[in-house]
Amino acid sequence: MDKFLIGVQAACSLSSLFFIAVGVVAGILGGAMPGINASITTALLLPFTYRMGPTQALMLLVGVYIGVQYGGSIPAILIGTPGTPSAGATLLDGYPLRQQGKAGTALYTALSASTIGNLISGIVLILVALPVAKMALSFGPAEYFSLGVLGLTLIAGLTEKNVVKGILAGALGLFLSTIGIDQFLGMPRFAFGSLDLAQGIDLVPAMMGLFAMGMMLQDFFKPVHLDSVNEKIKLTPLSGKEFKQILPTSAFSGLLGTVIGALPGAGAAIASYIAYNQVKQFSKHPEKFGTGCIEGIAASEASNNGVTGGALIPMLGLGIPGSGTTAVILSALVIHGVRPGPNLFISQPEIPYGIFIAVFIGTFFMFVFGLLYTRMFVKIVMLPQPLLNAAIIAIVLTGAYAVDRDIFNLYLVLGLGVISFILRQFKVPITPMVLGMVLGEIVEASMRRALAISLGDWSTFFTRPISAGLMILALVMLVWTLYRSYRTPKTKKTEEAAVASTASN
Amino acid sequence: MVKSKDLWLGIFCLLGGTALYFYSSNYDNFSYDVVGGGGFPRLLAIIIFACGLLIGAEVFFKRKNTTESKKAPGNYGAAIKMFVSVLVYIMILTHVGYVVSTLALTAVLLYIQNVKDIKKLALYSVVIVAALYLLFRVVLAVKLPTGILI
Amino acid sequence: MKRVLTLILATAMILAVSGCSNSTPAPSATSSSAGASKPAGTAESSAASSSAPTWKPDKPIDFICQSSAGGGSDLMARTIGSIMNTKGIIDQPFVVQNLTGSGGVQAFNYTQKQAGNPYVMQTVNSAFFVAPITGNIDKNYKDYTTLAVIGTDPNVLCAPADSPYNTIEDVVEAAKADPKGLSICIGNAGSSGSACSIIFEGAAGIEMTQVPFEGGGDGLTAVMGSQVDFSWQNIGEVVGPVESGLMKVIAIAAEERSDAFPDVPTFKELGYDVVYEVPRGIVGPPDMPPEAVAFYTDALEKLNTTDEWQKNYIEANFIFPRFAVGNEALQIFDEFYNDTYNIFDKIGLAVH
Repeated sequence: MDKFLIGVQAACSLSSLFFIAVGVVAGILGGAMPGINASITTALLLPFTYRMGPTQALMLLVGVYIGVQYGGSIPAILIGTPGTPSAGATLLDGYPLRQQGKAGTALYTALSASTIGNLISGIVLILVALPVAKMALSFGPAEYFSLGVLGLTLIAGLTEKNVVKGILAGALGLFLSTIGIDQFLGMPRFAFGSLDLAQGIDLVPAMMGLFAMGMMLQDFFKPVHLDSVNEKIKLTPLSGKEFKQILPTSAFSGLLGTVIGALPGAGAAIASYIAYNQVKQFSKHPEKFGTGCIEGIAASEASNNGVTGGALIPMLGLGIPGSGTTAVILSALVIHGVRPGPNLFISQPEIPYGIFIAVFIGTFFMFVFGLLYTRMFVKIVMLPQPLLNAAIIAIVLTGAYAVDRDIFNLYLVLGLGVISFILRQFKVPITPMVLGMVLGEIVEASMRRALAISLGDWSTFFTRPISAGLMILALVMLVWTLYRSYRTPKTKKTEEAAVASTASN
Repeated sequence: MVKSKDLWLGIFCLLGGTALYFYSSNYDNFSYDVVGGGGFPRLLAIIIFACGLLIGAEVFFKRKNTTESKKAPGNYGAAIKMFVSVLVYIMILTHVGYVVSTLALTAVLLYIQNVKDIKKLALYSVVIVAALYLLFRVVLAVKLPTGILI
Repeated sequence: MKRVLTLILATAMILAVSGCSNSTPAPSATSSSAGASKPAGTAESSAASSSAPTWKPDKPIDFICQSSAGGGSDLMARTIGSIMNTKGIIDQPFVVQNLTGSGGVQAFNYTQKQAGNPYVMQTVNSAFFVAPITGNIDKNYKDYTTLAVIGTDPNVLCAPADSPYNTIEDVVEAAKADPKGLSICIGNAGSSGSACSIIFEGAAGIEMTQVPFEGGGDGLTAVMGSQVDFSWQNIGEVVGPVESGLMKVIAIAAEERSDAFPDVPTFKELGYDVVYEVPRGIVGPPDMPPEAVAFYTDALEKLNTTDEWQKNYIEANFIFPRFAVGNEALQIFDEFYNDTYNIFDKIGLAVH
């Protein structure tokens, strides 16, 4: 219990509070810029931390980490481009809401869900960090593969109208993820001699190209005038009813995000899609997802913020960085002479417990600043469309450059944008493609590793308990999805009529 | 001949899938594992091919819907101009420098979207670029390209 | 009104933070590469100017790093940067650029393109040598300006805590009884782990199934979780987990035992000539001006004598201290490159 108090003491000193706040402010901003994600923002701020003590450095970095995951939802909702890959699922319902003039609702949902997700991951952190860390160790390649497969079943869930095209998009995405150096071969695949392609297609420019650039090309092609919609944007926070609606979803997704975050190697993007899928399939009205359903936003945002706390678990408990950002935090610790691991909890408890408390404080700040930021960002969206388009294109290109200052990324953004545009003309959905890219590596590499370990024995995916469980779950989800999509035609029409009559609020 | 876009898509999938399938065999050597470098791409090739078949089949079995609502043709000109502007931008970015290039880009993009008033063009461009510069260069400390000009 | 207030508040906070930390001057809105940047706010005794090499950097220095933030090379770069600044050896800030492209090639290519630029440095790890050997890049270490070697980092053979194998003899025996039956994690193809495996399997006449993992972290998880039978890791990564009883170390691929694990034998002691100590160092782009090289070499020598460096980096990561600059460093690279080339050539992976 006194460790808890030590943590509180550490995290609540004035300087700690200040740094957490600064971190959150910078983080939200960083997350909101497409191209700048959590690792980059944390890495950028790292030099500032050299002069500080380890606790304060940590406070800053944790604040950034928390802020970024929320920040990514802002452009996802407002301009249809995720600010960080983890917000990819947020735009599925966020952007349609914005097109209906309800950007405010979407943003507040994102904020609330992010807050709940953080709180849940904070609670899990405090109560069961070490046991969860140890449990995460039992996830081997076979389990990661099955997790990836589970994620892929989302494709069926997203594209009920035309599953074939969805699968095609998914396959294309998976193909794109194979471009680059193959870990097993040590040689590049599908690079066609280009040194740049040999390094693979980075997720950030890919998302920006597929989502943003594609949308921009489409908008120049066939401008959509949202001015009439913009006049109706409301800034009212969520109603009590809406809040109650997203609460269970957020709680569940937050927990899911925390668990997935604790698995080194599974990141926020994966978590957000899986949570979205689970929530959608278990919901009473799955067909509403994708058209502007706030539970969709809640699922995605709560889980990607849950990952924040989750990823701190292996980092603090085992000394393994679970994600790029935690790796930066880990390096900050090491530079200050701190070595994470179970011993840390005993020898220097103010560090892990301080971090836990910092998560809660950071969440509080995130909520407060989020409210302020939201009002600001919504006003931006009410600018005239041509201006917005030009600005978006400029932001996206700048962001793509900021990732690693390689011009090739900009070509990728443009190229993928063209591909996305062409696919849109053929009514091939883009989200499964992005899903394929996100999951491609974890699926293929884990599969091959698992087979290497099992010496070519394919049954390993079904004989290992966790893996088998996940595969069965994936199968169940698939069957359930298909069943629902065939069942709805008759009942759908009566439901649609009912929905239409209540939609005019 | 059914003039449906989907038919082209189907053909593309059939061709692409086949090409991918055979090209993947380049990656079968030097590997530690059962699947090999070419295994997964081949699986994808099969899936893509199958999708091509299904899409093609759909085209032939749903002939009733060939009367796709004639939508107004899109503005290819604008889209192409946008593409070219961005392409040129990328090509000159490191040579000319961030600020000037981006100013030019935003001005051109606005122009393509029928904002022809010089004052507006200038104002919007400057505001956008200033904001981006502030955010990326100052706040986030990202070094933006500087070429001959800034 | 609230909006304006927020903006002001946010900007104020950010500027305050920049003001607090003097090691990195807040980039001013009007700074361009042509303008001289602000010198660090702390007027530390400029140790560099007392011995007066004629050249001094007057712009921030880019430190190119092929690993992602938190990786071995990244930590080295950041520690170097931070100590250089805090001890006043170099006033200019170091900006670490993580250019992670599989196998480090993206970083290496980038440095190549900066020929003649005295404001760029790059970290050296095993990939730096392996990439040209396996043909992923056509320039090798000779095409860069060697600045310094700061130490060598050997690999250790690790096993899960509950593994039945405790000594090398156990391992060899088991591997011989079950060819390809044991799995070992090797990091990326072409990493130091894979080279160690090649040497070890050759020296002992055994065959194990090699399982590549993307980053050190994933491999560490795999061995801690008993997903694989063994793993090759860098010492620094495993000290914490071994202390906590999460895994164990069987042998070390070095000339001598390490202080981290005084009880762990070297492969050599047991009769297997498995030595693979990766030189950790810094290089500059091709054709770096000699004055700059002299300055940096001098600065790195000073760095090596500071307590902070020795404690926070060399000892903390259990790197074998081995400092060399100029030709001596180049010789170390030569040796290592040739050894590595032979290793990969023996199994046909070397590109001629």
